[in-house]
Amino acid sequence: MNDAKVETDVLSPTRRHRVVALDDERSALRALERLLRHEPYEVRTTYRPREALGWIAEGNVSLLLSDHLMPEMTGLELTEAVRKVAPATLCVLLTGYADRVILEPGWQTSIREMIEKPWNDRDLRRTIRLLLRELELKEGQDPGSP
Amino acid sequence: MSLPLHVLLVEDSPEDAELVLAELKRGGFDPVHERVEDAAAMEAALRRKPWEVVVSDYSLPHFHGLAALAVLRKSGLDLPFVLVSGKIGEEAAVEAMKAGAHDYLMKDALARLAPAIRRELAEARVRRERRRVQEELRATYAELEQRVHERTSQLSDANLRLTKEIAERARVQAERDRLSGELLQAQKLQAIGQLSAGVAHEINNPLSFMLSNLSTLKEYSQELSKLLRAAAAVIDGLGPREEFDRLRAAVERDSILADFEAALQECRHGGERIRDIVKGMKAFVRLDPQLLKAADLNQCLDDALRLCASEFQCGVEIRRDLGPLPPVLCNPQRIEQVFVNLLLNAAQAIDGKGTVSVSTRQAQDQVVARIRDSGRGIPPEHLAKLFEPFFTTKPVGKGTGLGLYVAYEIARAHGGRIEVASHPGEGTEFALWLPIRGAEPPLP
Repeated sequence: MNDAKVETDVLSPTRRHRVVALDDERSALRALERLLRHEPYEVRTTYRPREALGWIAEGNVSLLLSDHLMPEMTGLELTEAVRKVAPATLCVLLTGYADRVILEPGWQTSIREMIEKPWNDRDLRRTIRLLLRELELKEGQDPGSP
Repeated sequence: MSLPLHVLLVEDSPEDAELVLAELKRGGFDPVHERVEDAAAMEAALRRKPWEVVVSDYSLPHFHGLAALAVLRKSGLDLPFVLVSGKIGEEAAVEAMKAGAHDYLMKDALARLAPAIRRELAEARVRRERRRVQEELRATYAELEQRVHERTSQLSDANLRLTKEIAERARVQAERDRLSGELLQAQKLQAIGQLSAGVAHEINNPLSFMLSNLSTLKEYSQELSKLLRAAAAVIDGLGPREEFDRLRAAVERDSILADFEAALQECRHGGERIRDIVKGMKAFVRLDPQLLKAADLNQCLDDALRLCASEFQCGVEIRRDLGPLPPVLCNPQRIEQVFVNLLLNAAQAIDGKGTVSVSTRQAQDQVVARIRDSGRGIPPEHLAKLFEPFFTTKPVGKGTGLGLYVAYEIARAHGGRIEVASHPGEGTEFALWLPIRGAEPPLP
């Protein structure tokens, strides 16, 4: 992967990150699985927001990549729930409705990044790596956290 | 008993005056009199008292009977005027009567005086009465005239107010029409805005995974190319077997060949979804008037049933009850599309066994086609959204949410409508109403 050569997104070989990808559309999930198959972190996918929240509540999920408009609950609602059960988990919204989400007051308190659909593969991978790198740096400064 | 009588005597001779008074008394009167002998005295006397009769000498030293008559007439009083004379020619008598004297008596034949006065008093009374009545009539007439005038002016005021009111109403109506036209335009624009935003988002989702899959497929194809080149090199004895084995292991580990197929298939499905959305959009293109023709709706419905036959499971019974219909001015392909959409909806509402009943009827200048299923029914909260674009209860990717919307838009474009009645657990009935003579005015 060419992206790995950029120094700022090289991840620690000892830190095994887990990323949860959520989209109610299975085809989108499979495209994300393919896109992230060689990335240096584990990817779990689901089309059910509650399942994603369950995994995150168990701990050890570094990042959630979520769709916004889903039948069960919106991505924004899910990230607000995530902030309560696992405040360290970074939330990234992947949506065609960014224009709608930014109208919601306080969306930035629970959402770290917003990526618009259709996404650019390279930018998506790079954004996730940079966020995970940032997380590692923060953990290094603050040995108290896991 | 004597009758009191106020009599004005125009007479220069007191003896003659006495003769007259005596005659009156003898004739049953009780005369109260005054005697004058010139114009000025007569005028003054007339002004002073209410008289009932004037008895005048014909010839006086300083006055004249005819002049006295003129004085009386000038006063405006309507009193009997009787001329009395000693000697007068027939000619003078006629002249006096023409001038308005009521009677003419000779001094030597005064016996006729009292009856003449009695008669003249009666006539004067009649004249007074007539005048009074005429006066009353005139007053009444004037009052009527006044009332008619007032009423006319009231009516013309009212008329003016009504005219103004009608003009104001017309203005308000015109304003309302203008505003509702603008509102309609705004609503159309809003609908187009919502629709295009919806379309953009609906197309965005398949587009996202199609684009991502395509770059993955490019990577797959690069790896497969490398493997192919390595295999060729091994076969041609030009390359190391280890390189081929390494590449092959990578391809097998990632199940690239199997996933290649799957990714292509998903791209295809995404493309089909976009195609269906675009096809749905075409329904909003105005109906081409050249494609309108008098069509047999029963035929349309039968064609639609044939098209949908494979969608009905074997447990579903179709009941046809098609009544005689007049030809309906429409675009038959569009109407068939409406039937197909409604039939598919009915088919998908039924789990396992059930019935779908179709019927057609004429209702005055409309026809109605009903499609009823014995399926799940539609929850009340979904009914209001049923015809909204992109409203669907099917899983993502299974329905565009455009079927009923398109059906509704086609019905509307034909000047018709679709009604829906549903009971959860019992089924749903859609009724398509179309005017026989098509939309009026012919469609935008």
